[in-house]
Amino acid sequence: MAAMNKFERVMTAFEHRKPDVTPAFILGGDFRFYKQFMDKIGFTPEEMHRYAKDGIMTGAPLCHALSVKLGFDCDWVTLTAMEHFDPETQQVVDTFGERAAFVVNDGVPHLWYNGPFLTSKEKIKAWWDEGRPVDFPLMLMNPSFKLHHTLMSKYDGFTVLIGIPGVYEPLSMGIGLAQVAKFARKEPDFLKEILDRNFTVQEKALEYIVKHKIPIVMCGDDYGYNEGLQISLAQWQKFIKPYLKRYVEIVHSGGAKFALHSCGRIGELFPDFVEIGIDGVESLQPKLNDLPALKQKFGDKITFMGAIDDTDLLVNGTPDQVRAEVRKAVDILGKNGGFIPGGTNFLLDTKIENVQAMVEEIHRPS
Amino acid sequence: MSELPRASDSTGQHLDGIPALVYTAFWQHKIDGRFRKATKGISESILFDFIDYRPAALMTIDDGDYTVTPVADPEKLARKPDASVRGRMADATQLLNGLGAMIKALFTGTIKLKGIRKLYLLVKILQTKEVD
Repeated sequence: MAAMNKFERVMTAFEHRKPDVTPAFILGGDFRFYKQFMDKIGFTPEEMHRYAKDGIMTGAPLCHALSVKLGFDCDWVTLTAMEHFDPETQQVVDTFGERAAFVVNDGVPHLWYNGPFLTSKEKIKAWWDEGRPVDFPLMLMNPSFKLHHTLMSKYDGFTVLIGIPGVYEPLSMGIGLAQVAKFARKEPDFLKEILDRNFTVQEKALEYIVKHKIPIVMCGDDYGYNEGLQISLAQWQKFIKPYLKRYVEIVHSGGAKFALHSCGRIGELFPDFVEIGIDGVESLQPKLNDLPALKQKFGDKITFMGAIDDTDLLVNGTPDQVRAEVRKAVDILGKNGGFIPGGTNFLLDTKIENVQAMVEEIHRPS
Repeated sequence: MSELPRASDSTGQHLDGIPALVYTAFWQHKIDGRFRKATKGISESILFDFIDYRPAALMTIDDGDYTVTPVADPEKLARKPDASVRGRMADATQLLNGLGAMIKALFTGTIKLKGIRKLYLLVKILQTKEVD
């Protein structure tokens, strides 16, 4: 088989055909992983100069240069919503109501979600009266599009999946899970109104991404806990699925593929994912989901992404153990294509030598 | 390559708010050596003070390295900083939303800069392409 570039490899996997070698995916590397990378591997001055000249970010948590250097074929950018400042409570809040803050307590910075800001119906309505949610800062998206095209053209087809937050996370993190549950039972129309208002800005952002010819759009929306879905399947189908379906339709209307990042035990959503046309699902924590069974049932319709355990294996395992698990995953989940393996979440305290072993084994021809 | 960077001058105390944001903004340059390259032999202090969102952050640049210290009352600083960025947090938050908002804030004076030539060092650091 002729050698493919990274983009061809990724798209071949999305089309459920066998690529020359299995492509590798990295969701991202957070500050701590970046620190470890710089300490143990780092960039040469020539690389730094080249990345800077090409406008490729070399810092966490959006470190595409790290993804390229470690040999991955594709990574991810999620575009952030408009930020506001509430003078009364002195808090920085995104347009869906999520509070977040940077903290530094051991010399390595972290960005933490601090909880919901819209903690009552009155606060939600007051938020709307202020004209929120407002559109994503679309101009801030342009550098990501440029970056995608630069990496694609100058770095062997390296592919950046670009997206926005999904439907459920902005809702649950903006108003809080307790209110989601309460409104779902007692005031479903009000919950739908929140989702409608959120969707007006999400829709525009998705259309903007699609207009810029991004071939794979990936949106993050965590639906699972370790033990199961965060809300019932019936509620997910009633409140979340219709909007997620619209996400997929918008992306498909531009000829792009739609992938979903979703953590936790989410296997019971796969029939719905297939029904609404989702092309790929990422994270797929192997300790929480019966991946061989899901592959058997849905593997010809959905591309599997991630699936290499980063809660234990990549953190505590040895490179040999990582290679063995990766090989097993590629043999089972990569059968007939449709598999883009990688760690199941942002790399944090993951051992760098394990990540290198993972990528080498993913790329090793079967 | 480098020791774990210090979160503050002496105690390694917890930073959040504006001090954490300032620390974070230059962290990757500190880790990859670009900060050292851009500030070798330079000593200066820059105050970031959003008057409705204190503590302010005093960034002290010293010969290739920096520390960030929270300052509860910037008026009582023993030594006047070499440069400063002042404003209200609502305007500062707008800076996160793009260049247009940033230019508007600077031109309308809602964000005030003092010591422009000294502040240019920050631009120089962020634009440095080569590691030390």
